[in-house]
Amino acid sequence: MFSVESQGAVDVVSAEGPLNQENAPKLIETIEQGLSSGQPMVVFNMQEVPLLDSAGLEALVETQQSAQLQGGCIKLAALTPLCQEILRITQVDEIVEAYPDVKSAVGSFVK
Amino acid sequence: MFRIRRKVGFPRKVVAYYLLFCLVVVCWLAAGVLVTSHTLLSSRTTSASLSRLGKTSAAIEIAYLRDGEQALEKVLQRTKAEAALAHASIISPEGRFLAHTNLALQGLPAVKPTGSLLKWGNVTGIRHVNEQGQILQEYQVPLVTNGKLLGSLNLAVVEPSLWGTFLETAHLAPLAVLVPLLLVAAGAVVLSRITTSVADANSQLEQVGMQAPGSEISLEPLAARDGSALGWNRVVDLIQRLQRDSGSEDLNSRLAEAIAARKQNEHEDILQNLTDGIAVTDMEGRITFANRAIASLLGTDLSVDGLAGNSLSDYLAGDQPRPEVTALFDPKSSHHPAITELQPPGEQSRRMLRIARQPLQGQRLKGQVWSLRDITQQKLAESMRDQFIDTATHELRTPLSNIKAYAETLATCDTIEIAQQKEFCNIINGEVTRLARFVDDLLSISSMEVGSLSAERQNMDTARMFEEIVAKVQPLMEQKDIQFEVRLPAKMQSLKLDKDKIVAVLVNLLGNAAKYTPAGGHVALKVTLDDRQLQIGVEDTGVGIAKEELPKVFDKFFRSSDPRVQEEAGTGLGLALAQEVVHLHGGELTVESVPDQGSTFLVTIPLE
Repeated sequence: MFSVESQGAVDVVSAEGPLNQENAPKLIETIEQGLSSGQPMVVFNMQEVPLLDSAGLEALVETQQSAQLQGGCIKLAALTPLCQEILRITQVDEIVEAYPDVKSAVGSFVK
Repeated sequence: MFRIRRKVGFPRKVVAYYLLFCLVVVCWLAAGVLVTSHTLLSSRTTSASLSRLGKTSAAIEIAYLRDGEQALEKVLQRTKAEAALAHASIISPEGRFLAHTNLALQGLPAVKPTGSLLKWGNVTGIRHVNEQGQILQEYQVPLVTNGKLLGSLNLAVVEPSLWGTFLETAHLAPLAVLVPLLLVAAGAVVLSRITTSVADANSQLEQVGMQAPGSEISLEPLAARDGSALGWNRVVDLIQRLQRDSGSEDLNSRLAEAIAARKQNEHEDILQNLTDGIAVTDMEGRITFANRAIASLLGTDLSVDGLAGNSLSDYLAGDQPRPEVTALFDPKSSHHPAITELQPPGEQSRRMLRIARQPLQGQRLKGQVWSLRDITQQKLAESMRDQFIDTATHELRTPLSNIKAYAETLATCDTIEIAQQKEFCNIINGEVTRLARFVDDLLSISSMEVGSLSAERQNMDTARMFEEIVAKVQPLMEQKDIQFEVRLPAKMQSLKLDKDKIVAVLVNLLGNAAKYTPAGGHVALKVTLDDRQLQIGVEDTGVGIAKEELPKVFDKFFRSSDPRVQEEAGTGLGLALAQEVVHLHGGELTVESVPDQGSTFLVTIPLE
């Protein structure tokens, strides 16, 4: 479900399938344990995530808070229109920054 | 009128004990008086009986001589009445009662009672208990008249009992007991009044004793009855003043402490939430403060508190001694700021940290303040920018040098043939075209950066587009004697694409394939088209791409470190632009490659 690749110090986590009750714990596990050490700089590529439910939103917020505690950050990339709308309605987009694609999300860590 | 004390204090106890002991004394004295009276009464009874015995004996002798035996009984009755005797009798030498106060016993043989024997000279006596339970003392003295033994005189008196003595002296009890008791009570009242101040002080001290330790002591001044009350009031006044002073001082200090703690908490929160790692070390380099970010920057699982006391240099140097870390912690240079960049040891070695050190010259703290920042991405960006500048310089200088050389030749040399002039002009034109293309790429990249790069999709003849592409790259293939295979669908409908940009992408991909494929190699353009998508594959048998470089090939300004690639001119912009254009069409550009065997770039564009 989740694959991780590194671009410099940034870990790009790509997912396939909906981010729901079933997959959300795996996302938290992947981000909190499966990433390289150091300050967490994570881009969550949601290009192949068609839908996310409350558990998925909670996982995003939780991992963001966890990363921020270590001085890091999680950013979203390539959101589908539906996911974008879900994030907007639930105001999670105010907590987790979203970028149109992985490249711009990774590049934002340079600034 | 009377003040009622709710609590029995120390003086009450004193009074109670005083009364108790006084009561005991009174009772003891009363008992003593009773016993003494009883003893005296007994003694007096004995003395009286003995003296009565002599007198009665003389009276009986006289009466016997004068009136004979008939007078004896009268004498005995009179003696009994005068001396309050139990009974009196005269016993003949034969052992019969000659006379007896109890007339019924006269003439009857006398029975000698059993008891303790008493003797005073020729007087004998027996102490015994009679039938009524009374203790009787019977005194006997021989009666001799004219040298003839008449018999013996027997007088019996009831010995006074203790109860009898008590009853006899009971009428004196009010005077003997109550008066002392009244005196004792009066003494208790006086004593209580004398100890009132001490009682009040004692009561307050007991209340203080019951308070929680450390709580404020509440004491009340007493009425100034005596010296102890005055002394107590002074002590209370002093304690109250001390508490007032310490209370105000305590309030001020607590207020100051609360403000300082609040500020401290605010500062702590600010420092803890910084994304830069902040640490403070003492003069020996041991961490005395660290924020949360620094723990992750140092790659340790330790908490902020767990870092305290550890040496910062150990985390930065790892197992091996590192000169740059040693220099950073050199005491000689600790008095001025220092900034360095280094890769942390262990798993984080691919990262780059910027470490700034500032001497801490506080009043309370001495040591160093450290600031750590992860600059890996910035270093990568810098590296790519430097690479681009190198490439761009090369790309700009080479055509410019050519243009300058040929233009100078044309300008200065008058004897150049027309054909040669044309050749030179063509070269200059070619270089200018190359320059223009490079500048176009730069402009496209710039547009890509600011987001203004867009695809203008229009219906176009797909077959003609591929013909155009093939025509453009065919010369390159022929130049290197590369076998160029083109596999197009038999029938292609018109598609809605940004023709110029797609052509540029495919020319770029095929140009790269031609550039990095050795002479005599093979390059293929394979196109498949269905209802859903257009797939264009560009395969070559070139130098290939190393596995670790595959993820970077679409990055701007990226150039492979392979020397065979470095030999060829290139800006590192083509693939980045190609991917961007494909993305603008909603498609994907992917690559698969095996070093030294070749690469396959696959463009997939969904159809609208």
